[in-house]
Amino acid sequence: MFTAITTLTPTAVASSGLIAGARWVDLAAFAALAVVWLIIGSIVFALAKIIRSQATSPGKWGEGPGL
Amino acid sequence: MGIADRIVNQDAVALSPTVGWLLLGCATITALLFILQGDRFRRLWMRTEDPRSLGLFRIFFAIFVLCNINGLWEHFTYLFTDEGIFFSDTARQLLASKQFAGFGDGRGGEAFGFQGWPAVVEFLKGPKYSLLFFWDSPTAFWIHLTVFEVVTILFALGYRTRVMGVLSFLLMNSIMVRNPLFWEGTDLVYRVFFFLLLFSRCGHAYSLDNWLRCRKARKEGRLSEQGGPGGGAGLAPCPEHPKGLAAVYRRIPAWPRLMMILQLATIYTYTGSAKTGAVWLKGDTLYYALNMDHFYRLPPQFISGLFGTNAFRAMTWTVHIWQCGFSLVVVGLIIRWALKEKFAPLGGWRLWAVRAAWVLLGIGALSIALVAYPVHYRATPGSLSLGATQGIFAAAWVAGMALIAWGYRRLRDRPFRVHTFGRERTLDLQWFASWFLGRRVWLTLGIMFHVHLLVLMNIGMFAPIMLLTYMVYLSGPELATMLRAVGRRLASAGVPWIPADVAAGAPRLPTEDPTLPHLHHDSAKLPGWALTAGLALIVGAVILQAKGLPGGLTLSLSALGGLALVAVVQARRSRSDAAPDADALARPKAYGPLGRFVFTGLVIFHVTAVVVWCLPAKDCLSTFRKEAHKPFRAWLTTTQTNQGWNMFAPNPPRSNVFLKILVTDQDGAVYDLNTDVYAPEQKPIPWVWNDRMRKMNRRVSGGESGKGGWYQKWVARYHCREWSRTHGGQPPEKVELVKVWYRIPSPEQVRDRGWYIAEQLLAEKGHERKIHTVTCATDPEAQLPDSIRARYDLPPLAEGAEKPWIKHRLKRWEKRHELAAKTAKRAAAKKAAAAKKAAKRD
Repeated sequence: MFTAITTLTPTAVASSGLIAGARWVDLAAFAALAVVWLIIGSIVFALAKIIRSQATSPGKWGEGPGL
Repeated sequence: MGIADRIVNQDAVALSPTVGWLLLGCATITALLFILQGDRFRRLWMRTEDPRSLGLFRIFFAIFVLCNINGLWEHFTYLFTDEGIFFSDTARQLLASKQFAGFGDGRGGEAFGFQGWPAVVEFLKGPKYSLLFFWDSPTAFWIHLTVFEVVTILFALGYRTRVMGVLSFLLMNSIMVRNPLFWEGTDLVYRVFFFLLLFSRCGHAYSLDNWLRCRKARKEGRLSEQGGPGGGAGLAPCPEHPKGLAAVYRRIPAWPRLMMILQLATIYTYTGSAKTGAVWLKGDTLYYALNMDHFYRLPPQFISGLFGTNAFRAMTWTVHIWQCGFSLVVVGLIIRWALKEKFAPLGGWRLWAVRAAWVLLGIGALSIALVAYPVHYRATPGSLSLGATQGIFAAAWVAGMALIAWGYRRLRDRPFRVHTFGRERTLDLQWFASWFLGRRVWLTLGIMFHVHLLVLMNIGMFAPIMLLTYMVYLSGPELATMLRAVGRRLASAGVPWIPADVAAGAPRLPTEDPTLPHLHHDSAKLPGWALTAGLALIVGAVILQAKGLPGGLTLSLSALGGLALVAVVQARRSRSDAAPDADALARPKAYGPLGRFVFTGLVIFHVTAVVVWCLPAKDCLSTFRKEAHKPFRAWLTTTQTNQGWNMFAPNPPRSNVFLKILVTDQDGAVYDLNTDVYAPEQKPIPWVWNDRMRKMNRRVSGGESGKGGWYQKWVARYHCREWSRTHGGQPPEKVELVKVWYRIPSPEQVRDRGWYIAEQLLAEKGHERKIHTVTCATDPEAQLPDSIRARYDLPPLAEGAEKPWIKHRLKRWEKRHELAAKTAKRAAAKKAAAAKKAAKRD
């Protein structure tokens, strides 16, 4: 069934190479993924700062461990 | 179809009673564990806490509720009005037939409306309460929606918070239950969290209510403020302030937030455990989810060709393990809370009883797995035999139990000390609970997961609400500290309107002083013997019910009545309590004695109800699952908290399925309404705003869960009417529903042969199948009625052209009542005859 895919897609890996065959919109998914990881990176960075702050000045964060 | 064709595994059904008794045993031991550690249990659930966590949650939650409902705006008329898929009475009949059994539709010679009080009572029994079952013209709907929006905005602002919350919840459900066609997991998340939020005093922080209260108290000189007496935490009556000073942030009961914490854990644990399919095991779920044409914001095929068989698999497995293990974060929270509380260690018989209960619980759980496993075992060449597999599993399980028991005590009593980077570090229970069971791990993984969903896939308000629910895992002081840090940074970046004390980096305001005399410091509690007796009666009731013997209800009511009586006695006794000691003063209780009895009972009932409801629909539970649901059905369905979380479970879809609607007009011309993403205009890229039509199409075409087929004729009939409405009253000849689909290539195919363009693959390899046809002139309710024609100045239907659906509901209702009356009469006569006979004998 899927031999047809190769014939269908002018951008097949084997024939034309990755970047040359991709439309801008296909590459945009990479940008979206990059955005995701930027967001995640900044969250992890903020979390590390919070954990360090909790370790050094626990009183500032309240009396309970979340409960 | 999936259900109809499902083959029942009789071996599994035969195991079901054994599994049921083992489950009852485990539940009993769990209850005993709570009773044996009653003080700890009470302290955990009936605490008070800072209101800021739920205050902020309320604001965002209400906004998201609005976004979730408003996201349906394109389909308001279609879903919720009599000009949509269901006429008013059709909705009543199809969606709430039991409630409207005594409601006439004014057709077929029957009167319109409720036929007497019994009919009204039948409606009030619920569980579906919607004003739109009564008034659902477009005008009525818009009035309903406007009131809902205003009320929800007031709830977000925190004005008359409790009242607005209840009204918003009722009105939201009033809209939702009018038509479940659009429902997805997202809506369920809103419903279950909203219900729990109603019990919280979330209006005690970040609300107009609290602001107005503080303003009034300040004017009267009764507010404790930062830098003043009490420092904002309130002040007990004293000579300078005979009435005392009120705190800015009053303490609120902590249990609603704890219930929300458990609710989120339930969602993830359920959905993780339900994902038992081969696609999840192979790690291909992310690939298939991203490649669903209904979901992606940007075409993912190219990127899938690169990552489908490597990174996406690692991500799938991570998500699956994370979901299954998410409940560990609750364990971590409770362990860390218990460490902070510094409980006196258990001793004597109680300690050994608790240890024995834990061991029995572990063995009970193992027994369930061992008993149920044989019907899940599939022998393959080279695989272990059934006995060997069970043996290894049992050994590993027992070893795991021993490791937990040893590790817990070792970390608590004799922590490890290691030297790393020139420093000595203590690896104790606190460390373990923070890192292995900590929010920093489990919530961060969740954020990573949902941010991926949010950015790469468009599933509406699902990712936002799931991320928002993480807020309940933060305490009020934690959240306030974070907000202050953010506020300070914003102020230094020049953002206006930041309060001066926040900009100056002043510490957050404290929570209300726990020692204030108006808080509950009494010592009343239900004694262990009463709780044990109550448990024995309830277990007895379950056993009687399971054996088909009478008396279950009597035992249950006796347990409840007896416990209530003891609670009243204990409450009276506590009035003569001596002054509380320092420990009791530092830990005020959420309510007085009777309040604690009622709300602890509610917590236990609701948690039990949800747990029982979430028992998987498997053959090895089939003989008791439905029976077990019965005592909880009315509560869960009426509160809209009946739940199931089979999202992408047991496997994700592996085909892209669309719904095509073809209309043939009176001249024979066929029009494709382009109702799904096979049509370019329905597939904007990048896809930003969600459209629930995609979900509805999947449901109607049977592309999802296989339970939506019954909608097909109603969708087709709607299009007959809608075409008439928009074509001068002229109906089409027929409407056809066509299912369109193509298989998504496997990740290996895409890796090996190259990526694909979805539109081309659909054109080349797509399939089409007619799934329903409606002839507009003859099908019931396929004609635009005169009442709607009049709204649009359309010519009325010709005499006899309308084909109504005559339901004869009242006939059945009267028959039912006659039968009931006859049966009652017969029973009374029998009783009288028996009495006469007995009298004669005497």
